Amino acid sequence: MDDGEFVRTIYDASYRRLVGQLVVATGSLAEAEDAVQEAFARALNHARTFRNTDNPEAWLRVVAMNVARSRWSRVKRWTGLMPRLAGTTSYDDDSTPDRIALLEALKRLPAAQREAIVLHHLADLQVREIAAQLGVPSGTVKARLSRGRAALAALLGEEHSDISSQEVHDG
Amino acid sequence: MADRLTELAHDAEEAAVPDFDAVVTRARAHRRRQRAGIALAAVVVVVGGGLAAATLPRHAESVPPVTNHQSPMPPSPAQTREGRIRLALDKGTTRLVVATDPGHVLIVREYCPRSHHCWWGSEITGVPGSLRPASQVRQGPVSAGSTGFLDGFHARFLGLDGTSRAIDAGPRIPLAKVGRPSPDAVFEMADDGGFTVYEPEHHRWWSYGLPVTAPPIQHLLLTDAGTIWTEQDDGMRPAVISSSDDGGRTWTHHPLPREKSTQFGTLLWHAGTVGVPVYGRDGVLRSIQVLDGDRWTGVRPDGPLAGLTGKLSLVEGEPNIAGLTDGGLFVRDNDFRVWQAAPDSWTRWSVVSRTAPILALTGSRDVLLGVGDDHHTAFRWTGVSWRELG
Repeated sequence: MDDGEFVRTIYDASYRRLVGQLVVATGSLAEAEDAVQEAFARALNHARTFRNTDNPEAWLRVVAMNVARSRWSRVKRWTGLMPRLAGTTSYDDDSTPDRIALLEALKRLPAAQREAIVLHHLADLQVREIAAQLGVPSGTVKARLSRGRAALAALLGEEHSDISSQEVHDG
Repeated sequence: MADRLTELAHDAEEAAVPDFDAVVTRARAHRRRQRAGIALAAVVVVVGGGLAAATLPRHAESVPPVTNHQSPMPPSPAQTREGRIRLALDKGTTRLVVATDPGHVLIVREYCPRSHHCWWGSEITGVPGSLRPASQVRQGPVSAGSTGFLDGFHARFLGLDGTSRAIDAGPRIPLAKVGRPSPDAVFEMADDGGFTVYEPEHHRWWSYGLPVTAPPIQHLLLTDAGTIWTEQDDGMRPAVISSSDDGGRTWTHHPLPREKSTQFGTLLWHAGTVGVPVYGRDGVLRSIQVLDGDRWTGVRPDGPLAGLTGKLSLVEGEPNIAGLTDGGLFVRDNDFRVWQAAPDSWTRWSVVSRTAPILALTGSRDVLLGVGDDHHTAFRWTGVSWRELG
């Protein structure tokens, strides 16, 4: 199997799962798909390096999140200049009000909190692993998780019942 | 909550998978742009260098040697010297850039997935090219925290396997328990609820135990007088600011009222008391609260701070407000302007400069250092006292 075929194999196995995680990280299916495809494109261009990674899916997730984060920064700058254009998100026709509310709530969270939520609840990483991946102290990860979940619950008008620090797995 | 997120992710996974050829096409386009970019960069370096020489203020000529390789920045205030340094790093992917107090830069570069090279350099004198490899750390660890001090830095690396190791620029001495922090010390929080103090004068490290608290301690501040300040919050309950004058044995609690408890950036030291920037749930700065006796009061809303409030957001956890070692304050607003406030009054603000996006900031009495979000460019403002600008 050459390097390109290796990337394609990972693409077939991991694309959907990564898009699912990035949707929560970005609050947008379109942004998630674009970020994940961008990550695979970079994997193709660095196929030899990519093939030597211990965990290709984790590598792709990091790259995709970095892509989404940097685009988010650019969009933020742009919307700062053009405030009237901000917030004009369109949704699929079959999006339910509940789904739209969840996506809107996710978009209002700081990106760092969204990332922590994705890595902990969807990628099943422990706090220590998230801290290592993001290069921040474990305490920071715990705070982001705690604050992110609290803010999400508040935005959705839910009772926040899963906030206790005991539920954050330190690993 | 978790169920709704999982359901959202699963639904997204049902979306059609684009043909892999689309990824191949995108990768080819990247390679074409990269080749074109290399050719264009060669032209920009030549032309940009000429423009920089023509537009830089005269006093900037004394900043050795500066390379302006990005788009021109708006003019700086007359008294501020500003320079950019092209860091001598041109390979690999930057994994972490930390501008540490008081003016050191720690850069961790990832050369390949199986080995990491750690680079560090001092920026107090602003000599470009001073970065040099400090050590090579294998098995894929990444930084879990770092602290800068006058003659170097200390960095902890945490591996996915749970192992950790540290590198530093000076001798490291095994931790010992002491009863009281030393003035002129640098500290960092530990994951086990304690924190570590480095005493530069004697190159000694101390370990302090803190009570296990709920909400967890998020921020620490150690004053020259040896008082420890902590900030506890979990985003749900009102935050509690506590202080201890005896090395953590006894504590006085200073809870913030609920209406002032939302999100917090850090603990700041101001005019002999502690200050707390308070952000709303939307991540926008609402006020800076200072402890006046046993009461929390907002910094006077007149002056430029009034203009700043509402324009500062917690962006991706990046530091955008920080205390200087002399009690002053600097912030970066959403328009990427860098502001500073004089130590004796946080109501007197001056725009230091408008910058490109900055990944990390640090500062001391007369040096402000930033690292650009391209992970390659360092920004430095020197030659003027913060007080003079106040």
